[in-house]
Amino acid sequence: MTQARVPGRVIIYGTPAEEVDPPAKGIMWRGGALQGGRHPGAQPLVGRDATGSARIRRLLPQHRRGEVHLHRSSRASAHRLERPQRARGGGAVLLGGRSPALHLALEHRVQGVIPEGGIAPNVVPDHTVVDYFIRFPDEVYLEHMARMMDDAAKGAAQMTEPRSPSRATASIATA
Amino acid sequence: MQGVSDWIGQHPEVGWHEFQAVDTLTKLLKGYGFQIDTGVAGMPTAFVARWTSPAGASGPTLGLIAEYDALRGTQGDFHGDQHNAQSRWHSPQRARSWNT
Repeated sequence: MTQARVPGRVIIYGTPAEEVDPPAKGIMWRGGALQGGRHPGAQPLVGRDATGSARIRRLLPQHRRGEVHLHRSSRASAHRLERPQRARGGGAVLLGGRSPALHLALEHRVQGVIPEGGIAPNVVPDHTVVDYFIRFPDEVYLEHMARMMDDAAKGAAQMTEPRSPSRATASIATA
Repeated sequence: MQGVSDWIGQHPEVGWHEFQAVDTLTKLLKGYGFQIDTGVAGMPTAFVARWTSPAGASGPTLGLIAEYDALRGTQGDFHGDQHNAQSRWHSPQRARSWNT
């Protein structure tokens, strides 16, 4: 810009603590530090069809009936068991949130099942249940991860467009 | 700029404690004519650095996000998410060399 004599400005936003909560960028935004900024990728992530509805197919993982055991040395086994979490991570991204799988250290393990997920793709269930094991050898990240998953569950509840805010409740069972 | 990346990478600081990284980056940016505001939004390790082209401020404004915190690891803190490299990517030479 200097050499070509191009007018303009450069602003560098130094944003702390990207890896942990609370989100520093949100604090900066609310504090006015990012006022006037616009993200170049700010566009809808999910298109809508002519009826204004969006359908997500095969969101639920297709587990075999019966027990599935995780062997720590088996990547394939781990991936299969993590499908619900991947789906939830994708749901978090669709909601504008963050995928836990993409932002946490490699030592984490999240395995889950959806024991109660509804009866049909076009029927909003009264309630759904997910059951997760969240493992990480550091209590700070473990708490952080559990909170992110809980937020994703609340977002998933919100996606059903409840008639009253009181219906948009969610909780995660962890062990 | 590789030296800055290496230095931050060798001195990992976890979120809310990135004092050395902020000190290093803001000193560097000051040296290239950026005006620095630190402690932005009440956060000690947040800053905003502004630079205006010698040709004037009437053109577009390019905003860049810099991140510099490390991950907590079971064997010590580390830069596993390349934040040490990301901030130096927003180096003042590079920013000032853009001519579009």
